[in-house]
Amino acid sequence: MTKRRLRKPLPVSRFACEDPNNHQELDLKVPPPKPVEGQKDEPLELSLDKNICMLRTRIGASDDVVFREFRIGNSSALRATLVFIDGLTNKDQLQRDLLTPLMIFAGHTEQAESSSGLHGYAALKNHLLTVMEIKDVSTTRACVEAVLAANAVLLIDKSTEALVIGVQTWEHRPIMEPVTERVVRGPRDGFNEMFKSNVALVRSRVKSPFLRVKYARIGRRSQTTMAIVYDVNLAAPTLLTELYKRLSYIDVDIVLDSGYIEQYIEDSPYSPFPQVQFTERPDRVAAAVMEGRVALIVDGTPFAIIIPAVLSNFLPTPEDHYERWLVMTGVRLVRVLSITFAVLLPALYVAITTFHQEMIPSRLALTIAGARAGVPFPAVVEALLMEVTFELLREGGIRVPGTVGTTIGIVGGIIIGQAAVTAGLVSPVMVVVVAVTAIGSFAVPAFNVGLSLRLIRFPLILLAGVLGLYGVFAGIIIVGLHLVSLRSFGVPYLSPLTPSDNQGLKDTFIRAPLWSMLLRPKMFRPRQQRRIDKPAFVQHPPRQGEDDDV
Amino acid sequence: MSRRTATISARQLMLLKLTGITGTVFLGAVSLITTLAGAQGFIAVLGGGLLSVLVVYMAVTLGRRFPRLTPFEYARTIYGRWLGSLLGLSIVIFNLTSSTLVLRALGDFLITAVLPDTPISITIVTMLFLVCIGAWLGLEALARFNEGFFGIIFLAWIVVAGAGLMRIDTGWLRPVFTIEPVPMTRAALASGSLLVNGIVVLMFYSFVDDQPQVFKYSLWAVLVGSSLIAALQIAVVAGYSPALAETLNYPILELARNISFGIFLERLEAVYLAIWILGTFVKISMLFYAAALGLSLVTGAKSYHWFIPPLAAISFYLSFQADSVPQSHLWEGMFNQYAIFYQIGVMAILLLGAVLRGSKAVRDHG
Amino acid sequence: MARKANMHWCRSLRGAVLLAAISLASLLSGCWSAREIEDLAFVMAMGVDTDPQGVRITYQLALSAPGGGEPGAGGGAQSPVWVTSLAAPSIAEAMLRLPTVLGQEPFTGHTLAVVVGEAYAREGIGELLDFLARDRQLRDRVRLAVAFGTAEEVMKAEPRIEAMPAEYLFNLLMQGQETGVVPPSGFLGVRIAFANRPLMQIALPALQPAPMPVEERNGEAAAGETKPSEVIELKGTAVFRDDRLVGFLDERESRGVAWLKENMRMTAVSIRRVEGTITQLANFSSARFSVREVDGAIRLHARVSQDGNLTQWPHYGQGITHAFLKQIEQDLASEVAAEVRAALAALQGEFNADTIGLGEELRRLRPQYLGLRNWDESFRELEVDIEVHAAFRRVGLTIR
Repeated sequence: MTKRRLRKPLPVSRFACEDPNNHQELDLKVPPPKPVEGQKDEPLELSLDKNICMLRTRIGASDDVVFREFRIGNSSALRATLVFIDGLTNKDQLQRDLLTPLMIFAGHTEQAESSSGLHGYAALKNHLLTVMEIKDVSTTRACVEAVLAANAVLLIDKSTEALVIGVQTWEHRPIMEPVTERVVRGPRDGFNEMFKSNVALVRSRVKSPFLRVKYARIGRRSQTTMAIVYDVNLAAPTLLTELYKRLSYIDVDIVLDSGYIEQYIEDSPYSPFPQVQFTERPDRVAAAVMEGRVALIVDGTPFAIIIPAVLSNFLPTPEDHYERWLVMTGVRLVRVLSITFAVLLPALYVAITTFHQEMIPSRLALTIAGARAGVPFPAVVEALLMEVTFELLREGGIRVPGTVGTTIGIVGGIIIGQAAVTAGLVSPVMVVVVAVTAIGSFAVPAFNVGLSLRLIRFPLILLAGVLGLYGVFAGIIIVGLHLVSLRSFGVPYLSPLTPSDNQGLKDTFIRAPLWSMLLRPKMFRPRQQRRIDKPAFVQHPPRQGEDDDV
Repeated sequence: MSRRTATISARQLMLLKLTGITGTVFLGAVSLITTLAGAQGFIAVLGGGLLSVLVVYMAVTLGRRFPRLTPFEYARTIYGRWLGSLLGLSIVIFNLTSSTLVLRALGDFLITAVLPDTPISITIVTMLFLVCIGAWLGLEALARFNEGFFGIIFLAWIVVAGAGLMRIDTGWLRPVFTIEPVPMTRAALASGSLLVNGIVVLMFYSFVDDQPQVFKYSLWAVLVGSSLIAALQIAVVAGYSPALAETLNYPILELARNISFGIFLERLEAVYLAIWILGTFVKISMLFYAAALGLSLVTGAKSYHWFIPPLAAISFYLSFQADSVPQSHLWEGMFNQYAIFYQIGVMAILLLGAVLRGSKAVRDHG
Repeated sequence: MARKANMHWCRSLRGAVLLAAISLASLLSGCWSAREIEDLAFVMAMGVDTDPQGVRITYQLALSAPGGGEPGAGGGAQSPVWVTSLAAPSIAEAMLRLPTVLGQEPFTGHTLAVVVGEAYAREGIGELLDFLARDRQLRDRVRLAVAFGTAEEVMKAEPRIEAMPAEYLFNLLMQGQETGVVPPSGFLGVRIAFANRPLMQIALPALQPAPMPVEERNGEAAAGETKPSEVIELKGTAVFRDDRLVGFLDERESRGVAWLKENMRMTAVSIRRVEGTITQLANFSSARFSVREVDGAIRLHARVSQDGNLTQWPHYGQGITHAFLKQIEQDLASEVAAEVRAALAALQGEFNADTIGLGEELRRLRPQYLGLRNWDESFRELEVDIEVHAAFRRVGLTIR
């Protein structure tokens, strides 16, 4: 086998099907991020003072790091220090579950009075500290990392082990309706910035014992936690291996959003098309995991990313599966049409009015000619001008807060378009074309794909201006070739169109009834193909006059 | 070698063949057949289809003997290094000639029909660049591209053929069965080479992953392809009368120009043209890819990619050798009439050699 | 390290696309075939006449719809077209000289009709047909016609019923074809006929602009000053042999031809009887040919079937009986047969031009007939039997 580079993995299709009953799980780990420079890893010492000193030098200079010294038990023998960051930890819980038992109840046990040793230490953990998350560490660096990760660290005199107590809490946004993916019908809870609650939202939807949540940390200075969520019975092992490999190559100092991770693990950074899907909705994540895909939930951002992602994943809205199939098929077809318009309409207008005037019905041709008589620019320039103006309006409208933003976009467009027509800069037909294009581009559910399509529009207009329809189709050929050779984690980007897959096709341009979707789409190579055993048909209610039983 | 990483399915091969046929039929095929066989051209087309089945059968037989080798490689196995390389080179030259003729015809066609003032070099250069990208990306990408766009291409053809057939006056086809052997044979040979099945199967058999299906799908391709050409032939001859049809430069274009949906949507030929050109692009890219692959295998180079620009340059130069449209038509006509002999010839040589020497991939390559 | 360096850029898609993008950018150096739509002069109709210099072409150019002003509109022009004439040695040259007159490029993609002057037609329209066939932009649905007098007068007509005079002309010709007054005149049909001569010959509609009454000004008729016509009249068929005009058929004879060619959609046949006129609106007609051999000679047998509605009869209030209908049908059939015979007499006798295409019909039925070889002579002697079946199907909605 030839040596493969990172960016073009072996296609998932190359591997034989796994035995679905084989539950042997892969043991994959993402290596932790490299330490920040200058942070040596020293073991803890027996002396508490020395430990405190080491810790203070490392993180103690900030005013919000608290060192709470106290003594365990009634006797003044055993000193201990609690280190935590004010504002990040749940002080109530610390008081109640840590300080109270240690300071008040510890005195009632004999072990606490004896000198420290493993015995006493174990007693602390097992009998006194009534906190939920507790862990041992024995190096300074681990203590520092723990404190920075919003834990509290308990250092005990005469012990080389410290206890990390998980009491994270900080102010955060509640669970709200996702801002970017609103639905008319469907669940309204969306992710927030706390990744534990995000994972909880997914878990509450998929109560399968095969669901796995694996943590990983990315980012040298941000130490961002990330959860990798997948169904071990469905996700292809090669996919997981490849994902972990790519994650292990990430070396970055801070991860602020899942977009950072997306840009590091995608197949083709030079393509205008996204190869990773992001979503704010837990129901989307759950559905994706059920198809054999893998979701990455990153701390600090409500956007989870789903891999692999092909073009047909970016086109449906979440509602597509919650409404009835006939209606949704019509909606999907309209959506495809509007996307085609959004990409092609200005280029077609330019091509037809500049090169192929015989295609326009005679009267319309004369009207257009009359409308364009006073315009100083050729159609290409006019089109580009209007498109650029609309893009500016759109960008500006996003920055203005609230509903004013969208209103500015629409009203501004109308007013500016009208003014431009009156001034003789553009023809009225162009304004109509641009308006239809803009409306069409709103139909794209995924924001990132919408951006890509908007980008493609401009070269197409240029090509149309040079070679007419031939140029437009040359542009389409180039885009088509690119799409055809693009892969997302080994899955061809235009699946299920090519290579064709009947089951997948049932869910692309049309939406087949739910009861007819027996298999999972083949393109993600799930380990289990069948969703359900046999289609559950809709039962007719008994007709009038018919007997139920003979 | 590229073939191990590129696999296509038999269905994709069939679609590639169909696009190969439809990609050039609008250029000179129908007028050629009309010139040769007149009103009964469509019978010749069906005859050509039968011929094409024979060619496909030979190609599949060859392929079965050497399932994972391209003809460039097993030619060398059968006939030794020098003779085999020569055979491989001849295939390369055949591909190059074919694609150059198509390129020139396409350029002329575009300029005549759609872009009157554009210099022809621009249209040829544009297509060559698209072809370079397509051939660069390889067979798998081309096959998938073709599979994705095939629906539109075929729809355009159905519309044109259907609309053409609706306007015919069947009286022009009479008397139907007066078959004059010589013109009919020539026309059948011409249409046999137009149905490019043989050479495509020969070159790409080793890339298919479900090879037992190839013959079955090839039959489908022959059936659909020859039906389409026959339908177009009937539409042209019976719609324009044989006497007028012989004088037409681009009869299929004429058919497309006069399709109208209601009274207001007419002259949509630019749309059909653009869609047909998708097919032409796929066909030329296929031939280029095969030629580059052949060159790389014959010379022992690591990959075929770097052979593409020189091939493009040669093609560009050669496409300007014809002085005028009638001359390039003439050359194209001659090539199409005799191409079938080359196809049959090359396959017969290879097959004979393979049988006589008893060589098979298994035996020689373990 | 975040990513391994991409070692072989050339092999990747990136390289290919980059290469293509750079080279495609070279295309932007010029947009050769681009024509802005407002820079085009739409030629709606053309008229061709003879001229000492060669030909004289009259162009009817569309002025854009309100919102744009075209040069030469002459402030507040009511006519939506501008008519201009140009003389040149050949038609193609006239077309190429037109930009020097207009300042704009002519665009024939929407041309609806081409009218030929009588004098020009008598000299031969072969040159015109060749020019039209080679023109890239013309549609096959362009209609051709012959004008009594000059085509220029037809082009200058200003009918009021349609916005565009060329549309009026086009619709007129189409309506005329459907009622059998004039033959079908689509350019494709003309080309087919010309390619298959002498077994078929060209037949074109004949037009004449109706003269307008001269206005009296200040009590005196201004001599020679006529307003442009508002109506163009269809005057039958112009018969061609090869590419020369040889004569005209009147309306009755034109319909005689139309019965044999199955082109009519709806036509009115009137029978004059003693008590008045009975009119049938025929909405179905068909003709079937067969060959019979009588005494070693070929006879072509034409069977014309038509049926339609009774739309007018002189006895208001009196019901129509089936028996009476059958009686009138005989008269109807003989009327139709008379029309067909008149047409055949004119074509075979006077003009010797087979515009019906009987030669082609004969070829389809008896391809080995020797007379087809020299159809120019054989056509005169062809014996045609006519059999007509006429019928009344419906008699109207309200009364019996």
